[in-house]
Formats: sequence, structure tokens, C-alpha cells
Amino acid sequence: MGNAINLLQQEKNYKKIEKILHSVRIAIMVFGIATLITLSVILFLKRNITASLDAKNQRKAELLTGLNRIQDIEAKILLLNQKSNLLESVLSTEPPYLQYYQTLIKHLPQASASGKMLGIAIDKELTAKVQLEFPDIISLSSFLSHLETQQFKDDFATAQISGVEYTEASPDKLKLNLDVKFKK
Amino acid sequence: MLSLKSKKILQSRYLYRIIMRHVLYIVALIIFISLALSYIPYQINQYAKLRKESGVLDEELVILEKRNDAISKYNAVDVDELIVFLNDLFPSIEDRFSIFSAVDNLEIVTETPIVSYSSPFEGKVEEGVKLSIQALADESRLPIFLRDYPYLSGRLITLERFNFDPVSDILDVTAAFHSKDIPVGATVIPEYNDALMKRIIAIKQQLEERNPSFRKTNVHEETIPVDYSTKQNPFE
Repeated sequence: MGNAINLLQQEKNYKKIEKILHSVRIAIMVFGIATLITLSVILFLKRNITASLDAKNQRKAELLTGLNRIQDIEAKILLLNQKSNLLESVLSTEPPYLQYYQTLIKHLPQASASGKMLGIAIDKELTAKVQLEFPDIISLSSFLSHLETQQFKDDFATAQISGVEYTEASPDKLKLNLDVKFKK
Repeated sequence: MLSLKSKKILQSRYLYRIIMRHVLYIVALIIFISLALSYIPYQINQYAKLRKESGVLDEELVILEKRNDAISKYNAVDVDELIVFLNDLFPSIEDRFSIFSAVDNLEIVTETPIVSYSSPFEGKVEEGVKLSIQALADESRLPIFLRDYPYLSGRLITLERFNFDPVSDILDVTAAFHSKDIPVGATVIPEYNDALMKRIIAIKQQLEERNPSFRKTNVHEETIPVDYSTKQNPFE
């Protein structure tokens, strides 16, 4: 009995193999195209970033050259800035004595029949010590009632009477020591 | 048994034809695989490095551009003149002899006769110069004194306290004369502070107008004590 060749079966196998090979060829082409596209994109991006880096390096070199040329001016600007800031910080921490003084005399009796100011002392801590003289107890009472007003409370954080005494010169006159703290 | 079978397969003409037909594909596949596995990752790596470098360079350029812009904005002011002015107003090193003329100037600009003051040579240099000053000031002059004392004498003065006796018109103040050495070290130019510069210029103009004895500033390079060192390249 000789070998029998099944031609129909073989043709079926060939067709199947050809189909697989076709798919493999397509896959290789797709893979190849994808690889080439990826490579092109990367090379394109790389070329762009290299060009951009060259431009940036050139700009940096220009700026550094320019800045080195004006180094002395830069040093002077630094000095000017530090000095200006120091001056500003000293001035900004200085209490507004004029404003404090004006606030204080707005509420105090000046040299008048209702009383007079004998002395004012204001320090950096926003406190003021005031010495006042009143011709009689009525004037003093009138002033003390002013300390209770809203207008007075708006300008001062605290007010304390540290002493009241009759003057040596005149038994009717009263001397009042008032300590106040200004509102910031 | 298996090798014999393989031999048979290899010897098959059909398989030979398939290989010959697909040689180009096989070569292409080898090239694409080597590109995908080695050359493309290498290029991606290179690109990432360049991007990183570009980012660093961008930051450096921002700093340099800012520095350049800040310096160019100072063209609007006469830096030399302002430094000389500030050195007079707020010297780096205290010259105690200059306090005498400052007190004289204070008397002139505030129109408040100064009757006495303590010696500027008392106390340690580090603690600054503090003077007890007694002046004749009535209620109309006192506000002028309190308004003008901080810098119109030509020196920066602050008050520790002030006592006013309206009965005898005596004003007694403790005045601090300021001086400060600027430490070397800052190398980064700050942003141009327009408000601050305008304020300094305004103080200078006010001082020159109100205090005739305050010297007109003559700017000479050698008189400006620039002992700053600026970096040539801030990124090195």
C-alpha cells in the first residue's frame, strides 16, 4: 500500500498558514510604523528642545555678560535698598508723637478758667503722664466726667488717676496726675 | 525521532519559500525591535535630560531676567546721590562730632531754641548715641518740633520720650541718633520698591528745601562706600 497524499487537506493547511502569515506581516508593518512614528516624534521634540536650549543658553550668556558689566551698579543698588529699608523700619517704629500730643491736648483743659496743664510726658510705650491743675473741685469734677465720655474712650485704651492733691500755693486748687495709654 | 522530523520540515520546499518570501519582514522586524528596545528608550532618556536641563535653565533665566529688570528700573533714580544722602542721614559708622551740627540744625529747622544737651561722647558706641536735649518750646512750637525732628536735622533721630512743661515752656527729650553698619552678604537684588524710593526722594527733597545747611550732595564714586560683592554667576 503506497503513501496517499490528501491534497485537499494540504490546501486547507496552506490557506491557514497564509492567513496567519498575512496577519503577521500586517502586525510587523503596524509595529514598524508605530516605531517609526514614535522615533520621529521623539527626534522632533529633541530637535526642538535642543534649539530652545541653545536659545536659552545664549540669552543666559547675554544676561550674565550684561550683569557683569553693571556689577558695581548692582552693588550700589543693594546698599541703597538696605539703607532705605533700615531707614523705613526705624521711621515706621517711631511712635507718632505729634498725633499723640494733639490727641491729648484735645481732651485736656488748656490754660483757662476750667483748669490748666502743668506737664506732659509721653514715651515710646504709648503711655502719657499728664499733670493738671484745677481752680476748684467743680472744675475737676467736670473734667473727670469728661473721662467717662465716649469721645475720650475712643482715643485712649486706659486712663488712670495716679493722684489728686491740693496745691501748696492755694488751698482751693487741685493737682491731678493722670496716666493714659493711647490706642494704637 | 524529533530531529528527523525537524529535518524533514526544514527541507520542506514550502517552508523555504515562506522564509525567502518574508526575509524583508524578518529583517525589518529585527530592526524595529532593536529600535523599540534600545534606540527609542535611549532617545527618550536623552529627551528627558534635555527637558530637565531646560527647566533648570528656565528658572535661572527667570532669576536673571528679574535681576536685570530690577536693575534697569533703578535707572529712574540717581542711585549714587541717594546713597550719599542716606549715608549722611543714617551713617554706617557714627561720627560723634557730627552730632553737634545735627543738634544745631535741629534747632534751626524746628525753630525751637535748644538751651542745653548732654554730651554725645557719653555711653558706648554699640548702644548708639542718646542725647538728653532741653529746648524752649511753647505750645505753638512744640507741634513743629514733633513734626520735624525725625530727619530734618540731617540725621535720623527718634525720641525715647518727651516731657513738656507748658508753664515754663521747657521741652525735655531723649533723642537717639541712629547709625548702622550694613552687613555684607545680601547678593540678590530685591524688586524695585517704587513707594520706598519715592519716599526716600521726598525726604531728601524736603530736607534740602527746609534745611539750607544740609549739604548739597556731590556725588563722587570714591565717596560711595560700596563694599558689596555681587556674584558674577548666581548659579555657580
